[in-house]
Parts: sequence; structure tokens; C-alpha cells
Amino acid sequence: MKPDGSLKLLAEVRDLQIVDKDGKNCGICDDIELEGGPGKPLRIKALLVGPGAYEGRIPKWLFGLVKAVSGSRLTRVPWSAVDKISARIFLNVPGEAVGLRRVEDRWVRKLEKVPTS
Amino acid sequence: MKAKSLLLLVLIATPLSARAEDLDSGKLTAIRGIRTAAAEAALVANLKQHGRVTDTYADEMRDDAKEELESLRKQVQKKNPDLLPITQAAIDATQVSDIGRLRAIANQLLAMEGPHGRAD
Amino acid sequence: MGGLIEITLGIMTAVGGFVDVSEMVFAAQAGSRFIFSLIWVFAIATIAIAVFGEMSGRVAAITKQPVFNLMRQRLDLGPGIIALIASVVTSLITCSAEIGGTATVLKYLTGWPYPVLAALTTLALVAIIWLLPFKWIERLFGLLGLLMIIFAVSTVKIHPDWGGVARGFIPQAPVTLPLKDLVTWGYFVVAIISAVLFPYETYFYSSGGVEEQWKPKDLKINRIVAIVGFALGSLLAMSILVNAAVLFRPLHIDPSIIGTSALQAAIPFGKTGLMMALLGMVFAFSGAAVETGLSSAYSLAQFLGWEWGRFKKPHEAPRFTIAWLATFALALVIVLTGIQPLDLVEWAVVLSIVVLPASYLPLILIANDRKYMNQYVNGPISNTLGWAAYAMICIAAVAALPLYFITRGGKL
Repeated sequence: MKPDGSLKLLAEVRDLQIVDKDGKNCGICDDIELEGGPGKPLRIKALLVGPGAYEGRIPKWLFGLVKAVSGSRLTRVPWSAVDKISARIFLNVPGEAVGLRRVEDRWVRKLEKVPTS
Repeated sequence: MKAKSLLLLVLIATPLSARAEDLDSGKLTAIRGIRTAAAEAALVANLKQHGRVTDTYADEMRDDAKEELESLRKQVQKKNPDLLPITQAAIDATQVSDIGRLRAIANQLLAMEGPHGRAD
Repeated sequence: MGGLIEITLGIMTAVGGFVDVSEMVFAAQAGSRFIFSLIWVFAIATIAIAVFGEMSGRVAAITKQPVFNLMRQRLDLGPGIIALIASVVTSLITCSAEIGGTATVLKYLTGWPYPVLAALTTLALVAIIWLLPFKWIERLFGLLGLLMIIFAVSTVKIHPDWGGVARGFIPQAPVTLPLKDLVTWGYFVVAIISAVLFPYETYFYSSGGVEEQWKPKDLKINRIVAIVGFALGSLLAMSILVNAAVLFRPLHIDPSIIGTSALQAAIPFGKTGLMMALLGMVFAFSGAAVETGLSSAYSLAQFLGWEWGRFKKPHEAPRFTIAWLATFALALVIVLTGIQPLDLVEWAVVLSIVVLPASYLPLILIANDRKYMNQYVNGPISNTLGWAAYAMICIAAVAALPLYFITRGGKL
């Protein structure tokens, strides 16, 4: 992010890794939700995370394939949860607080019971 | 657009080019396959006789060579039945590790490959 | 002193890990069919993988992100998904070929049934990855894979025409051959390029660099390890080619059975040579199975933003763990269907070369991009070699399918 706070949205936000307050990976920023319109200020409302966000970005046939394999869930991460953006997007809250890491955490609980070295 | 046209051309040309060669390519491939399997079986049997390989290795390799030849026999049965006798001979020779017979079969098949045999 | 040990171990690991089942198969057939005329292809493909390997290590050290993270940003989502699918599928097929190859070689050692050995191999690899710290997995397979050196020792023992071998390094085509054989030679050129340039090696290398938190000061050591390791590993592959030309060609053998190549050590050295060759093959092939099995999990996890890492415990990176477990399970299923490992090798090699341009384009673009690399962008040498290698890959990718069909997978 540039010192004056401006962003090139596509190049500097979309497709970046999201990392939460605890340093855990929380998925990729798959798209961005804006609010406002012509004549009004344009603001980022939320980051969109999940295969549901692919819909506008890829051909229909490819989205159909993605949907068949991994569903079309979509999580909205409010812009207020974003702390800073560099090579990755850093949140100021744990991922769970904004609806991220649900699948990951479910598997964490299952795998914790299996012995390792 | 240009990339798509090129891709289409490659995809169409591929099976067409294969078909044009089909007449003796299939036979040449079969002859080559039988030739090398027989030669490999002969080498392993020879090395076993001279104590250069373990019995386990030799026996498993003999079985693999036989399996390869049986698979080739199924192929030639449909497409090149004139190769059936020599393929069967190779299978029989492999089973009993007849080194001399296997070498003779390999030499015979190499001669059938003509200029494609060992072109240098 | 510690640094010297680190470099030595790194090089030894790279050498032991260079030759996998596909390189072995194609090197042996290349030698028996075309004598020394394909040595230069191994040399050029090795230069290419060393260049791309160095680039991927540099990208990891400077951007602190692995290639698949950057792939989405550089290629955009649609092409990125295609590259991801291609990577996962080729890694899966290659993993099954390596497991099949390992089980086949174990069969020559034990005489046990192939399906049992395939299942035991898969279970053992999963257990090793689950229980051992990763550095020791890398060392175990790499160092034990060094038993493959027996092939190079055989080359010296059998006194090949060294002048002919040296001339094999000069780019050439055997134009006096009948057309059919020349076309098959062309297929071998493409197949060797593919086998040496399997992208899982660069993904693996860059993922490791990010996990070990390489910094710019680590670049020199890693460059040495990559270049020297790949070069020595390539010489090992070439020795298999030379041995086949000298030992198999006069006996009319173009190895169609995986175990035949071990005879390159048995002929000069008897049972001791045979055992070293077979054991070396077990560790080389299974080491490659580990890399390919983990590689598809890396690709998925990095592209989709999951936790990932071979240094993390399984419950710390659960979806990454499930991904590599699923890869090994599916690979075993493929092996147990009875498809021959040599057929799997063929498909892995052809599929990989077709998608290779998509696999390497993001890497070369990122390594050239100051926005990501600052002052560590490609210099003129890296750029020239990198783009030349990329052009070679593109030509090979276009030629691969027609050549595969015309030559019936190189059997013509």
C-alpha cells in the first residue's frame, strides 16, 4: 500500500493471501465488494473470500466445474477488519471472528487427536 | 484467436498423421516389442546361469518378460496374426529360459525390422 | 564448517534425487536406440532446470511467497485455475508412476506380490512423512538414492568410446536415419525435456525456501547447491544412457521392463552391483513419490490460501495434510488398477510437457518483475537463458502430442 493510502485495487488487493491477527492463513482475497456509485464516493465495503466469488471472474464452464468440486460459499470480510496491506492482507481480528477458517478449524479438531512424532 | 486456430490445427492433424502411418507402424512396433522382450529375457537367463544376478531377481524378470510377451500376443492376435507363431515361441522359450532360442528369435525379429532395426 | 556440511549435504541430496523412474526409462531407451545422439538434450534440459530452479529459489527468498501464491496474482484467476488443475493431475500421475516403479523394484528384491508391495510402499511413505522431521526425510531419500552412483561407476568400468560420448554433447540430429526413426528420436527429445523439467521440482524448491525463510544472503549457497546438484545428477542420468548404448544395444535390447536397467550394474559387478542398483532405484523412485505427493498439496494450499508447510504438524495445516494423504491414496488406487508403471510414466511425461509453458510462465514473469523482486530481478544471463529455455519448452509442448501419437509413445 502506498504512503498516501491509495490502492490499485486489482493489482494490490485481489488474489493476495489473507493472514489474521494470530498469523494464521485465512484464504485468498478472491474479489472485492464496493459501495457507492456514479457521483458518490466509491468505498470498499468488504473482501470476498471463497469459490462463490469466482463467478464474475472466470468463464461460466469453469465456474461450473469449480462449483461442482468445492461449492459456492462466500464469506464477506468487512473492510474495517483489515489492518494493513503489503504483499499480504493482514487482519486486525482472528479469522474466526469474520467467518473465515471454518473448514480449517473443523479439521484441526479432528487431526489433533492423531499422534505424531 | 491465432493461438486457438493453431491448437485446433494440431488437434486435427494429430490423429490424421497417425492414421497415415498405421499400415506398417503397428507391425513394426509389435516386432520391436517382441524382439526386445525376448532379448531381455535371454540376457537375464544368461546372467543367472553365470551367477551374476540373484535368483529372485531372475525369476521375477522372467515373469515380467513373459507377461509383456503375452500382452503383445493379444495385440498381434487381432492386428498382425502372422506374428503369432514367433510370439508364442518367445513365450515358450522364456518359460524354460532357453537362451539360445530367445537370442535366435531376437535376431530374426531384428532382421524383420529392416532399416529401422539398428539404423546407425 | 557448518555451512560446508550444509552445502555438501544439499548437493548430495540433489544428486540422489535427480533420477526418477521417468528419467531412468527414457535415458536407457535413448541410449540403446540412438547411441549418444541424445546426450546434449539432457545437458540442455539440465541447464534449463538449473536456471528455473535458481529463479524459483530467488523468488522465494525475495518475495517470501511460493510460486503458486504469485501465480494467481500474475496470471489472473482463470489461467491460474487451469495451471493448478494441470499441476495437481500431473503430480498425481507422476506419484503413481513412482509408487508403481518402487513396488516393481521391491518385487525384484523380495519376490512378494506387486499389489502388496504397492500398498506397503504407500503406507511406509505416508508414515515417514507423518512421523519424521522433514529435513531428515529429504536427507534419507537423497543420500540413500546416492547408491545410484553405481551406474556412473559402471560407465567407467565398461570403457565406452569417450570420444563418442564427448561428441554427444554437441547439439545434433541423426539425419541419416529413416524418417520413422528420426520422428521417434524427436519424441525422445521432447520426452527427455519433459522428464528433466517436471515442474514439481521447482514448486518444491520454492516452497522449501519460503518455509526455511531464505534471505538474500542465502541466495549464493542455494545457487551453488542447485547448479552443482543438478549438474551431477544429470551426469548420472547420462551414465545410464551411455551404459545402455554400450551394453544393451549390441544385445538388441531397448529396455521395456523397469528391472532391465539394473543389469547395467550387474554385468560389470555381479550381484553386489545389482543390489546397489536396485536399492538405489527404490530410494530414488520413492523419494520422487514423496516430492510429487507433497507437491500437489503445496499447489492446492498455496493457490487457495490454506495453512501449509512440511515443518508444521498435521493438525496445524489440516487441509494441506488431507490433500497429500488424498494424493497418496488416489495414487495407490491408480497403481492397483493394474496400469503398468511404464504407461503411467508415458502419460506423466506427455501431460506434463503439454502444460509446461503454463507452469513456468508465471515464474519467469515474476523473476523479471521489479515490483516483486526489487534489485534482485533477472540479470542478462538469467533472462537470456530463461527465455531461451522457455522457447524450447513451448516448441516441445506443441510437438508433444503429435509425436506421441505418430510414434505410439516412442515405441515406433
